[in-house]
Amino acid sequence: MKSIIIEDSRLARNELKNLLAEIPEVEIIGEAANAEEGIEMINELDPELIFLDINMPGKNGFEMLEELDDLPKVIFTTAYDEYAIKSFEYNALDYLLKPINPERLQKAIEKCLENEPPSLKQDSGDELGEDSRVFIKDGEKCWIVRVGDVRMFEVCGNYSRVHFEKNKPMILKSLNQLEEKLSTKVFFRANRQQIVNLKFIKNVEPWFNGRLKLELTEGEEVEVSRRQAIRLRELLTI
Amino acid sequence: MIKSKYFWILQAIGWVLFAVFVFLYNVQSLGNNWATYVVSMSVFAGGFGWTTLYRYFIHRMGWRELPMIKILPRMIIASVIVAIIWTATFLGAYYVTSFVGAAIHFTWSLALSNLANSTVIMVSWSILYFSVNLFNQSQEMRVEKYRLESAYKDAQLRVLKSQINPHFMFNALNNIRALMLEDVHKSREMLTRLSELLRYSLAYGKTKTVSIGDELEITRNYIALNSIQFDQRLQHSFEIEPQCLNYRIPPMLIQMLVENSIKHGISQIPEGGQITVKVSTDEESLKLEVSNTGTLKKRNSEESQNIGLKNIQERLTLLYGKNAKFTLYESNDRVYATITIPQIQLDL
Repeated sequence: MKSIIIEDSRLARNELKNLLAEIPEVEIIGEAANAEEGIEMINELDPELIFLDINMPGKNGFEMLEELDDLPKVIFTTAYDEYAIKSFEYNALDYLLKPINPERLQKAIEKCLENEPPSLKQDSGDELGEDSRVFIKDGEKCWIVRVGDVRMFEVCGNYSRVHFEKNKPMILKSLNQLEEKLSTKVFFRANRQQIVNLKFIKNVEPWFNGRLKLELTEGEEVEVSRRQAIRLRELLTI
Repeated sequence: MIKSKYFWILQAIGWVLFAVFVFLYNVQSLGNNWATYVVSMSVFAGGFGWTTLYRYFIHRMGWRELPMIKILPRMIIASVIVAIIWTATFLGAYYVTSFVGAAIHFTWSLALSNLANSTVIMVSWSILYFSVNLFNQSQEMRVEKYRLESAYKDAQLRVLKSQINPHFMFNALNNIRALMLEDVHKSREMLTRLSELLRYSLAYGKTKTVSIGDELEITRNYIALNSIQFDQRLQHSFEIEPQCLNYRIPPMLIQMLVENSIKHGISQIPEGGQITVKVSTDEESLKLEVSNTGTLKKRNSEESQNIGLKNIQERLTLLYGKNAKFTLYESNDRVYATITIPQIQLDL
């Protein structure tokens, strides 16, 4: 697995490299000392896995992830940050405590290897595919979400609400920004307020004035505007 | 017991005075004869004796702990009963003396008027007794309140100055682990520094103040351990007036200032920065100053920023009251944290 270490302390990077030298499955292709460097390096080298320190100068690890569109796998590292640890535990994210126990490291890597085969990047350029993963942070909670698992995006002031599983956190992105990035094969702009995932539509009913009414798997109801209803019909009849 | 002593003094003086008064009155009305002596004596002995027993009874029944509203009816009833017994005592003495030819004879009207007097006196005695008691209790409560307040202060202080930040400690351990592979000598040195810092932080729970010399040594250890974390990103310098070294300050005070500088200053800037520790005096106060490159605005964006500073502020207020001053300001791209406290040469 091609990996990058993002960590501000040089010694801590060396320490992790030394530990990873024992694990042949992992190949270190780059090291970054802060979030800015990290983002650049991820975009350039396209790693499958990153080791990410939470406490860094400038942007911290969480803030860095929020700026990435398509996440590699992430293993967080921290010395002792109760707040972050609570967050990892709550959201079942992988993390390691420094000084790192080699056995724990081994286990974390194994988990990464067995969890879903490395995502095949779609050749669609900047487009977010179904298997792309994004980091969402809303207050204390955070998630790493597979884009294909999102049922719906919904306008909420300057924010957008992301519906997936039982959660609906908010992200600071407009619906138009999202629409540009999302794959049109999967996501459909139902009206000005909502983008829905076609795979989560349970029921379609004709509605007034040539509009359509959709019911999603979790019971959400979405009205499709007349103009978009025509496009949806085309999409679904293909 | 001191309060017990006061009771006996008051009790004795009160009854002696009362007996003298009764004696003088009896001399007037009964004449100066031996019956007057006996009767006056029995008034004194009965009053003193019965009220002493009455007090014992109050103690036994735990009336002193009762609220006022519950004491009042009990007090009045008890006073009447004691008055009856007392009156019976000295009227008995009258009766006995009347056999041997004293001046007056026992009548019911005499008994009733004496009982009325006795009741007034016993009620007065009770009121006096419970008032003194109440006064004592409020004194005790005040003392207790002060004791609790200072215990609370102590507890607060212990929390405020507690422990080295665990985040720092684990980072240091992790860095030393890596350093072992590249510089054995330096990693050994760092382990020693870390142990000294830990020992100091464990020991200072027991001491209220340390010399500035000791505190600076620990601060140097702290900075050295941080500089293996931050490498070239952390530069530092000390400007210490030599006469300050023997002054005493609360332990970990300078260390906490440096910790804040690093946490909110240096560690937030990708290219790092510089820290200066300055200790100086003027005529009556001692000035501790830690400054770092950076701006206060950056600090404000941090959520937890003020916890450390609040901690310092509270510690100073607990220790020095209004005599300590803590300021934080920005000037020419540097952030200055200064503490001004009274000069103290000996342990507090």
